Amino acid sequence: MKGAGLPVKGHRATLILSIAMLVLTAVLNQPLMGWVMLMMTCATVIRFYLFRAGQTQKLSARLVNLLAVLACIALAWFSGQQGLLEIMVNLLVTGCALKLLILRQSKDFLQLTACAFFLIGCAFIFEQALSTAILLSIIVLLLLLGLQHLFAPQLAFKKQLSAIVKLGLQALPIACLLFIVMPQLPPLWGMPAGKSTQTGLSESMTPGDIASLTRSTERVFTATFKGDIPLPEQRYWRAMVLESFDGNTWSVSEYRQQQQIMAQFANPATWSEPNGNWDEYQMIVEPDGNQWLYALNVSVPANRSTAGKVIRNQDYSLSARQPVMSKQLFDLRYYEDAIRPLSGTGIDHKLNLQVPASQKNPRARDWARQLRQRYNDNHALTNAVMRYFANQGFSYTLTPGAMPQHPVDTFLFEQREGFCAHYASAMAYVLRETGIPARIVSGYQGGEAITQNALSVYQYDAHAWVEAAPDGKTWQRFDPTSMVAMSRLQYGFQQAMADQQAEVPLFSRARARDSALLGGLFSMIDTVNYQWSRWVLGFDDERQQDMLSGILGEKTTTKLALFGLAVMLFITGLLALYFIPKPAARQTDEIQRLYDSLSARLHKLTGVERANLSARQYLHTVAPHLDSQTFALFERFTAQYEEIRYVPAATQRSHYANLRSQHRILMKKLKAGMVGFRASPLTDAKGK
Amino acid sequence: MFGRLRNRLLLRWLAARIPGHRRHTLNMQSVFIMPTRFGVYFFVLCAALFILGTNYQNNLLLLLCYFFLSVSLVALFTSYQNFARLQIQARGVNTVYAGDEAQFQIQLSSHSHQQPAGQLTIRWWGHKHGIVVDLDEKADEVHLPRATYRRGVFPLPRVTFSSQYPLGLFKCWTHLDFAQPMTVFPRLEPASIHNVSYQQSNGNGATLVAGQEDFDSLRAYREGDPIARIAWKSLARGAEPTVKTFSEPANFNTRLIINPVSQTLEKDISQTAYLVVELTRRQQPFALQIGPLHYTADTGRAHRDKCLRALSTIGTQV
Repeated sequence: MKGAGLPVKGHRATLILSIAMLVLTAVLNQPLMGWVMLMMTCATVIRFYLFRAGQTQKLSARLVNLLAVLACIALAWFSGQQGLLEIMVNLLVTGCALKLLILRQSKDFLQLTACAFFLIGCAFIFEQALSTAILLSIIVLLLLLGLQHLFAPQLAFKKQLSAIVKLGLQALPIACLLFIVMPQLPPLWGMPAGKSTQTGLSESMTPGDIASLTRSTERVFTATFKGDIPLPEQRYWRAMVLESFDGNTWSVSEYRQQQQIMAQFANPATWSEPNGNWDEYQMIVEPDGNQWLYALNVSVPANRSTAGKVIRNQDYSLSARQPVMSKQLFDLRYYEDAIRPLSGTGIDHKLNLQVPASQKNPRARDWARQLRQRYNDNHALTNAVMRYFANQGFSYTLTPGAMPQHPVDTFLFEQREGFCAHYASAMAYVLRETGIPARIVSGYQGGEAITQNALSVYQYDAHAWVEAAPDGKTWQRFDPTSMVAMSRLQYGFQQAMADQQAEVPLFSRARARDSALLGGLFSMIDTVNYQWSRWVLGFDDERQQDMLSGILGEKTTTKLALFGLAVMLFITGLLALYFIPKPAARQTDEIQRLYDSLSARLHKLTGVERANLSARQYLHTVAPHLDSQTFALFERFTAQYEEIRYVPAATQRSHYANLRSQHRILMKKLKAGMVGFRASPLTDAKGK
Repeated sequence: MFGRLRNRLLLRWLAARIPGHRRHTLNMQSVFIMPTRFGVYFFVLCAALFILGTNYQNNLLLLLCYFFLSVSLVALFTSYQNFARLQIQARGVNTVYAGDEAQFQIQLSSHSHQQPAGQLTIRWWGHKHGIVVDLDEKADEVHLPRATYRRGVFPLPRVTFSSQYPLGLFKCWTHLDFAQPMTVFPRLEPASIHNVSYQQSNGNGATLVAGQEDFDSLRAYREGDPIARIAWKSLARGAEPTVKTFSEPANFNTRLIINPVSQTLEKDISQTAYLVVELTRRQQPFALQIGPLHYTADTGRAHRDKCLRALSTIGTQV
């Protein structure tokens, strides 16, 4: 088999492989570049042509090598735009397409299949939706089918298919069992992250830019609460704290970034627990290739497994140790009323009183100085700023004009139109100018309940607000946007933006509110996806431990060993069930069965084997061993048997019934014992 | 050197494990199973998927990895089960002259109600290449060619059967001994009947030329008479079938003699074999003497084969 050339024309295995490759490429469309997909399509089309027409002219190796070189150059050219992971996948797909062109030997076929198997694994990194998983499972079956076709080319297609489906169904329970009991390890080492999709939050925020992120309907995460869902006013999901301001742009301060890198190596055990009531919730975070996480107020990891994956930052935000490349589960505990003190080292003061050195936003600074003179008390001053937004004709819009110069001044005193970033930016700057530590927190606000205690947060829920410390000791949340768009806070983005619905594309989630049917459909899909995320994608070592301790109770070495043994036995039992040879199916031919049972009985009693004798011959052979009565019965039976067998007209019900009754009588007689039987001397000799 | 020793030890071990039989039913005892090269790569792939899945904390990747492992586990059993359904029976080897290709006939069937599937590779022990049989095509009898070089009676070597069905992850194989002898007649070397025979005849003058040409008389046909000698002309006229007889004095038989210690023994054997075949074709009786061994004069195919077998075993133990 090895090294054997494959036929080209009409080779179905190759065709199946090509089709599987094409579908796989289509599923992998996210990381793939257009021309790579085109190449695979061309290769498949050529394969299809070869399947129909046979090889007319051999593709020269030189041409394919040239193509390969060109493809490598193109990949290197585009590599700047993509992450390492994407480049690797592109390279692999390109290689597969080229190999498909020159597939000639079974060795090539096997290599390609192995590559395709690996690519399916890669596809799971990029996409983990239930629908994708089903599609990829079908591709796996297709590839297995192709493999089997290679080794059994003449087997009928139906049998091929049933054999492969059977194989898959037999393997599935074992795979699931392994998945449940095999230890879930922490990441062994860092893996190349893909280029993060730029739809979500970013580490810097320039309020003068036009908002686009609020239109995206992508899900960011789903949170499932042990208790009730918090009230809409409390759903401030903190993601990042922006403390550095240059007059236009707010960004994460370099000091914090350094701190975060340091924290990667810190021991989680040294964390202190805040005081107060807490509630547990579970986050299923969609992969976006970023490290930041989303946490309510003060949140801490709720268990060991999450603690291993999470870094607690000094600004009370949480980040993942690794960029979130696949759907992940975090168990968190949030302290509803916990206070957030400023750091004792004064670093918070230093960072959050920093104002740009350049002469930007001079009017805002003057206004801040006036406020400082008017209000001695910090709290009163902060309230005054909030009131200013409420009273001075500000309005909320997603499409404010651009403010390239002095954005805070322009917003506060000229345009008075903007969204959360504008409000937060202006307020934080003014507070800093008055000497109150202030910073911007970006994250999400709100969320849509999908079950009684779970809610999903989408990209359009992105929000920014202010944290300030009027008393100089603890951080407090201020949301200036709420002064102008209270509805956004209370009912979520969708309601608040009802007047801007016209711009939302048809069939989008945002549109779904208008139609009960569409809404029901979306909510059903949401629920299915949610359960999929929770139970399959979110299965981690913590859940595994829970499950095991649920089964085993307290874990001891003996119990674990016994459990391992039980699992092994279960798998062995399954395999035995599949493969222990079953007794041949009962003969459907009734008269044959009747005759066989009789002859077997006679063989046992007389020792005369029927072997290859015909019914008539056997009758005569066995005759010397039977008494006259039994012989007569057997003769009649044989005659009836022969009649049914060889006279077509005799195959009637009455004959059958006749034969059956004769069989019964004869059997009874034979069972009565050895009376009247002469054991042949031959039998004795054989018996020994 | 080492290879040969290993081969010998392996064969001895196999002789104890799978003794020779005309008919073989495959079972645990006789079937070997190991991952193929592709199977090994497949396990490497599973390991890669496991690492990838663990490092990206991706459960679907892990699930895929475990699924592949389970598939290979199930495939292990499937391939064994499929292979063990085979029942293989030797149908014998046709006799050939040295240098020709002998055909070993093997009958493949199934002892279970299910038929084995997939491609089956059949090759001689130690050979790299063999023939590929698709078990899904209804081919009951398979011919495995074997090249011959020397005359003699040889035991057939073991035959290796292997299959990679269903997924090529595992290879099942067995080495079967069918306990079949293979007789290889001597190579034929054309020799002039006159020259050679005269040299080899035992001084009995005109032994060889006799019998064939001189028509003697007609006699009534008896069963077993050669068809060529029937007097077709008289038969066509409607007479009783008669047979032409030729003048064949009893002591006028051709006698072929071989001296086992001759310098040109192989050549003598080849030429004598040619004469045996040629004389049989002419239906001319002949006797054969190999050293002290003597085969009385006769004619016919059975006599020819007996003589050829005798010639092929000269100097061998059998």
